[in-house]
Amino acid sequence: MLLPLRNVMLVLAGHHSERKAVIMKNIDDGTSDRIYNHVLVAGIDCYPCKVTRAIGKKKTAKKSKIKSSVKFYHSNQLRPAKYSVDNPLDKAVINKDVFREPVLKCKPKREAKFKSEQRYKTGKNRWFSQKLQF
Amino acid sequence: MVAAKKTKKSLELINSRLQLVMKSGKYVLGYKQTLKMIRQSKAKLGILANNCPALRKSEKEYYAMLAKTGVHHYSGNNIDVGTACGRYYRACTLAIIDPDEKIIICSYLPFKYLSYMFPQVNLHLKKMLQEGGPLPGPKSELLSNAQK
Repeated sequence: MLLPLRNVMLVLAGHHSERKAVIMKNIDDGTSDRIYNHVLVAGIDCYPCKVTRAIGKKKTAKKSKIKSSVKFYHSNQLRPAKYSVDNPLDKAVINKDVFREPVLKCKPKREAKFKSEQRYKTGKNRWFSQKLQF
Repeated sequence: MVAAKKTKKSLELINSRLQLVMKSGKYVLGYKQTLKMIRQSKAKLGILANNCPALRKSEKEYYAMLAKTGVHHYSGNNIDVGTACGRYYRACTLAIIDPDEKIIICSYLPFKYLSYMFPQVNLHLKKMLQEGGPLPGPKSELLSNAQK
């Protein structure tokens, strides 16, 4: 499988373009409502700001916040990267049932946000938490 | 002079190989479809024309690297690739999905590509080389032995 779970991808299209995301679920050959091959990703919406030692504790806490997003994308709109991510996001929370109503999306987003921030603070998977420079 | 002759010979090999694949029908032409096949890990070998735009070429190579698929840089431009496939249009990229084994046995492909299609052949050959001595007769024999 080229797109295994927990691989990092770059989102290329849409509002979240140039952001990094983690694959939650890969659906080849589509389903009845999406007839194309699509991927469920949990990604970063707003990256954490740059933080230095001179900035005080309160400000670093504020700057280290990550805003996350959970979305379905067409496989064309993503580019796979060679990186993968260690601590897995909870699949029971982030699944396709969440997209039935916008209210239901709150919990998976929070879960994704929490896990992403954890990863950022422990310094794991550095590439994921960094803004794409170009 | 010698180098030119060698590349011509390998080009002929690839061409004859492509003709056989076209007959079997397990291939895909064109950028979008080849990427799709590589993404689904169905492609066994990708072929790129030499005038493929650099971004597209490196993208295809990256995908193939992740999928552990081989990529062959065809020594000819997209017009030549299309002609080699027997088509009247151009094709920058081509992916071979399912090479029919019988067809491979008949053709004399360079071993580099055989090893992508049939990983067990490569291992078999390596083992034989380690044991020492020259490789036995025609390649078809080798293949049929490997498949046993």
